[in-house]
Amino acid sequence: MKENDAVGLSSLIFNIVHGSTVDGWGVRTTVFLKGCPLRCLWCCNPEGQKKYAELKYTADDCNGCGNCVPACPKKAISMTPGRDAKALIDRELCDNCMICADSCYVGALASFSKQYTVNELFSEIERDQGYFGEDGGVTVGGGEATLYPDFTLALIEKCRKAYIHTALDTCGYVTTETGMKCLEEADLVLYDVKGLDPDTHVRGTGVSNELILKNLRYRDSLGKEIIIRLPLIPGYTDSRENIAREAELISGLKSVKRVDIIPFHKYAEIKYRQLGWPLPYVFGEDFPEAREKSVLEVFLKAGINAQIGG
Amino acid sequence: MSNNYKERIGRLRNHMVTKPSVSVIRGKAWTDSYKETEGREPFFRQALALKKTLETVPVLLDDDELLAGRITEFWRGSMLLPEINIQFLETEMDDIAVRPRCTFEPIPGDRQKVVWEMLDYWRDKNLHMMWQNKLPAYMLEHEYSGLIGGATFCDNGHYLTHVSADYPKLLRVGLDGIRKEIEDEIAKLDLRVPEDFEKLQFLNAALISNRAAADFSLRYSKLASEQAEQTNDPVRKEELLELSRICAKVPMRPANTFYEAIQSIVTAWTVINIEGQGNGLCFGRVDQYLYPYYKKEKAAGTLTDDFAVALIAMLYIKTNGVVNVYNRFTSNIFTGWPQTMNVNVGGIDKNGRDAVNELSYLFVEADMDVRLTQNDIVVRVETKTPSSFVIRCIEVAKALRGKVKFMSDNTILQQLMHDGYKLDDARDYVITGCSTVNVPGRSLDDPGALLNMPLLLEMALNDGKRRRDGAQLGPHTGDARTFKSYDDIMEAFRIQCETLFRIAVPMRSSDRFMYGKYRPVLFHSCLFTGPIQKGRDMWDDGSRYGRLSFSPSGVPNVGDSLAAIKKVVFEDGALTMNGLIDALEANFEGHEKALKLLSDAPKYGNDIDYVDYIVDDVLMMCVDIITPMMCAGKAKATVSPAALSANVSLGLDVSALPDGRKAFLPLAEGGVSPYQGRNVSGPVATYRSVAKLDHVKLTNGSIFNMRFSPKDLDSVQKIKKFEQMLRMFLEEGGFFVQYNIVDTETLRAAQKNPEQYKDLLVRVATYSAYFVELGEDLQEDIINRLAQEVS
Repeated sequence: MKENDAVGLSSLIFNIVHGSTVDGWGVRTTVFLKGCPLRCLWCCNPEGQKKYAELKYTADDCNGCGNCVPACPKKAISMTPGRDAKALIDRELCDNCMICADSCYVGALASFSKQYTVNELFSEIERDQGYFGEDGGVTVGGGEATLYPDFTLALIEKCRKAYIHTALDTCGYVTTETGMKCLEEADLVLYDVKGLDPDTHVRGTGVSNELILKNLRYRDSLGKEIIIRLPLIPGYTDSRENIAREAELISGLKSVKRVDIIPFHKYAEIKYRQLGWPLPYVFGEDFPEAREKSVLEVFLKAGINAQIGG
Repeated sequence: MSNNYKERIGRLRNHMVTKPSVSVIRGKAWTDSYKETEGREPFFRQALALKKTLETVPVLLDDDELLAGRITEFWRGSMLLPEINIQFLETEMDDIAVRPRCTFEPIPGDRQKVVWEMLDYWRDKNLHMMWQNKLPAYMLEHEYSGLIGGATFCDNGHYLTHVSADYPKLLRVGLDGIRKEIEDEIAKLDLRVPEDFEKLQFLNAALISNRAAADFSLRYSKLASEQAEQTNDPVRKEELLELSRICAKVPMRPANTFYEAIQSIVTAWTVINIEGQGNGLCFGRVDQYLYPYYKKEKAAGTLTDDFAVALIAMLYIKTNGVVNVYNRFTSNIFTGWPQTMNVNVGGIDKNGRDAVNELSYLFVEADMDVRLTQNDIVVRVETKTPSSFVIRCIEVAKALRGKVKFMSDNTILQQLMHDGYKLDDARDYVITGCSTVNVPGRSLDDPGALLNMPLLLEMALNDGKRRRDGAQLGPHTGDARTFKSYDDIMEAFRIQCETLFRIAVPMRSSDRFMYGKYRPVLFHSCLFTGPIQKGRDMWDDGSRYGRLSFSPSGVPNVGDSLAAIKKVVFEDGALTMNGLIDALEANFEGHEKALKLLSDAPKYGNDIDYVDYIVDDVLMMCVDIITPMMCAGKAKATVSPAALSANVSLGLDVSALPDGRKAFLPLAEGGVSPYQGRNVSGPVATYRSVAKLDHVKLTNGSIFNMRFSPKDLDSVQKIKKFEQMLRMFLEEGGFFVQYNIVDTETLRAAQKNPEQYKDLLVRVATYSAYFVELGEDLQEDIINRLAQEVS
């Protein structure tokens, strides 16, 4: 790809963390691209699912001024009655034009994301290079970065030229040729495995795991580093049988350097509210710590380098 | 620590977790002596007062103690220094037991009577009064104006004795060697020369102080041998006899063992405190000057690490016995009694070689069982410093919830060279107090005034008036509504700053002058290079180097504010000057749009050059105005951004700011820490913003606090990554960083049940304090900051 092309490419980014210690080796700058082909019921970054800008509404911050009501061209906003009036957004009518955000002076209405070109994003990453040390670098995640294959590939190549270690944090559901190229090119891939039972996988994520597992084996065959991430979701991925099968699968892979077991957590609740989405029913559950440990044991016994948390 | 002394250390440290009491013994003895020396010159009066006091204060040894030397009769107590200023007790005698911060046990009636006798004697002759009488009215009105916080003349102490005596020399030659030096100097005098005649007065008085300190040590030697006779415990008897032998030997003669060396320092330190107590008395580079004793004895098999650590722990515990009773105003600035008695470890030696040794580790480890507030650990980090050492210090910082300061040798050496220090001296630097750079035995680098920078900006936008009450505190710099450019604002701001700084610098400098001329500290002076040769008190141009630093507070708020004005008003044109001033006057009520525009402007702490450079511009403006000025005792004026715990109290004077901060809320804490909750881009972005400032020109240091959750340090890998980021920051131009590692749940629980959390340490400003002693507003400030950063 020519340098000039990369300049023009842009993508929606919903977060950048300078100095992450959990997204791969070393100290990393992690960028989150907006848009994902999966719809996991337990998604902890729901604002990363849709590929377009979305309105973030923080009801606690709303002061009830009502400025947004006339500002909305779609008439999607009304005020709740009473003294503690709050804006009420009809998400059916809202087309995420963000005009209301300009009228909201308390920051209760805002966009979840910002557009970046490859060059803009690269300059955010490049600044941190001194802090990466020997093994750190950039982690491109989301959402799902390979939904923007040209952008992500251009970013990976640009970083590589600058000797910045690249990691791709992926769900593995990669359907495009350029997307596969990203999977090949990244120095490290953080690869999510969300259960091996095909039916349960469809129920939990909305897609089949066939392509995901195929792509995993392909990346593995390249001999380039992989960290497997296993979310532990009650009722979906935490059965003894599934864990045993995952351990067996991973034992047969040659490029997996570590397995990170990610116990289910509820930190995303506020984001569901800000999106105006109902809370997924799995949020009612808690994951007992003792179970985490026993899952970890399974992997350690199989001789796999595993840990709890990223 | 697997230590045979663990239980004793535990008992001793627990004595310190208590509300402090006020002791009147030192103050009374000092007063009695002054009554007997009317008409004599200050050198003699001070020396005689020290002598009388050291003869009078009780000598006490607890069964668990291995080190001798108490400051007061209480485990944790404050002396009174009425010759400096305790006159606030005339109105606050009872208040100190009930006020919101820094409360003491009530002073009982019989002791109150003694205090009143002191108050009566000193009313018209305490140093504060003498100082006030010398100052012109335009300076004096700033004593409590709110613009110069902490610039006020200190209560009850030598303000900030942020220095490190030449302990290595004391260990080498002893007080006897120093006495010989004084006698040799006297022998050289030619009394036909007027200066020599004055020198003689200093040197004669120095001899009195020197002798008094030796006699004080002998009192402890006697006490230990008496207790040895009385005890039935053969082990304790042995210990007491050894302690008695040591106190008869040091600090008078050179130390030969590790135990002797530590006791020698403790005795000298105790005398220094009694003579002229102040914050920040530093033990220097303990891992360097004690190492030869340690090494020799380890090789000979006469010292175990267990015993060495026990002595270090007991030294740490001892420092916690000293607090200083301040008036209510000052207790808001130095909340939590920050005595900051630092030890310094690590760094490089005078040949530029890595100086970390086994003792460096022991001094860090020893605090694991102490966990009190006053003894601070300063870790010098140079490129050559081994990672294993830095990582161990991070682990200890985590365990102690942050109580370790990490310093950049690279930056500090540049600072010292910039200020004209010799390379060998520079490499021997220590950090005293919060963040002051000093050279042990050779420099008197002291912090001066806090400068309320956001208030100065407010005045620049309000024709020199404080918005809160309309008081005309500064010159008329025009109606900000008519300002046409960013330069107009900067010029008005510069004029406000320059006008105040020209008052603040001589005001604080005059304070240093007063100590040097009227309350000389002869014992302490003789532990520095210079005073004996010059025949002058250390504070009166006695030492080799001297600096007095001025601390702009709240500069991150000013930088954020100026960036917001520059962008929103003058670049985007989204707000007029009229609109801005209206919004500020209304504290943003009804001006939500303006608030939003201003809040959305770039904020310091996110690695955004636009605003980070403005923060630096403001600091460099302070440097340009302040550093050409000279202070008393030939001290250089320098700039060191800091706010201590005054970010809350200074904020009470400041109305709404253009950065979106509403009226009377706290200002940015630390000195260069981003405003609470505004650094939202990850730790690397925060480090980079701070490292971008020109720390080389902020030569007496700056304060930068970061908060982490214990989760950020819960694995070996994360600790390694933490170390990598820390080192990059220190190598990239950072000066100093320290961490607060606590979670909000713990703090909330401590607020609800203070009794159960009496020993919960938190970082306040640059020192540690007990959370439950902080007062509600400061507690809330800490919890809010933490909550924002974790979410």
